[in-house]
Amino acid sequence: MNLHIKKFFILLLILNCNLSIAFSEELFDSRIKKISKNIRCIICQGQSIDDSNSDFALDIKNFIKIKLNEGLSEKQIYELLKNKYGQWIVFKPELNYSNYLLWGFPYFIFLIGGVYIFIKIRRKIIKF
Amino acid sequence: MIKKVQFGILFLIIIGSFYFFSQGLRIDREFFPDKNIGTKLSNFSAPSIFNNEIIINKDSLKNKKFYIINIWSSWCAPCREEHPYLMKLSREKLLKIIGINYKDKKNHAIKFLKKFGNPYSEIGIDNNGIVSIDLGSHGVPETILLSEEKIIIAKFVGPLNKNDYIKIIKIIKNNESAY
Repeated sequence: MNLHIKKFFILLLILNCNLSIAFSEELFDSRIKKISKNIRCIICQGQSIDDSNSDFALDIKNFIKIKLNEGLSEKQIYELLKNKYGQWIVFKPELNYSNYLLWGFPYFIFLIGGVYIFIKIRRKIIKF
Repeated sequence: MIKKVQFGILFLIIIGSFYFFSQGLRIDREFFPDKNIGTKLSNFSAPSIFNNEIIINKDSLKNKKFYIINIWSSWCAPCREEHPYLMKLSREKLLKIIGINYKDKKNHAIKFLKKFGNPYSEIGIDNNGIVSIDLGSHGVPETILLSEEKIIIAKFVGPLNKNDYIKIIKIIKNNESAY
């Protein structure tokens, strides 16, 4: 009986190890996917690295994988690629002085709209 | 009166944003490899095709005034097209040409060089495309012209043509006359 319990626990341990390896691999793959979705395939315009199967896209995916294995963070990988290929390679541009209008415009419109609605409502309330 | 002012402001905003966004359409979205011209070459390392123990990297670029890194492959048709220009360039005394053999089979690469000639002083192997990405390349063929200080002078995406060849020769000759 005792032996059976031992066997059971060993089996459980093995299963647990397998599961954790599978999960960590999945997590790793999802990180590669997340980064490659935000990298533009420069030679196949309109597609991300994740969408494309061109040689360039495969190389970049491989590059991301190796750099993650080396322990680099997502931000460091973006920086590396930006240094090599320019800001254009990332889909989500960083906020800087040349594109502050792009980032600020929606908030500006939102604010104007809010003020407009506020004034309208206040007027209606005053009327009543 | 207030209505008119309101309408005017709205009209101005709409016209203004149309103008703003139409300006955006004029920006060229093509990628220019010129982006890293003037910057220092990032480091790379590739084992030599002839001897796996020899590593080709930034330090392999020495003793010359100009260097060319050419990414090529035996299976790439445009590489055959540009090969005669590389052969001609290999005769320049101030220039050293280093090849990066991209995702190729060693025996195919050697066969290619035997057939068309070998313009390269050294050739590194890039089996998985990582060396090319380290060099900031877009694919094969690609040629990077470097100065003595390993600063990128020019980059040619795609096969070298006659104009590119003339441009490279001009740069080298200009420097030659300065000495």
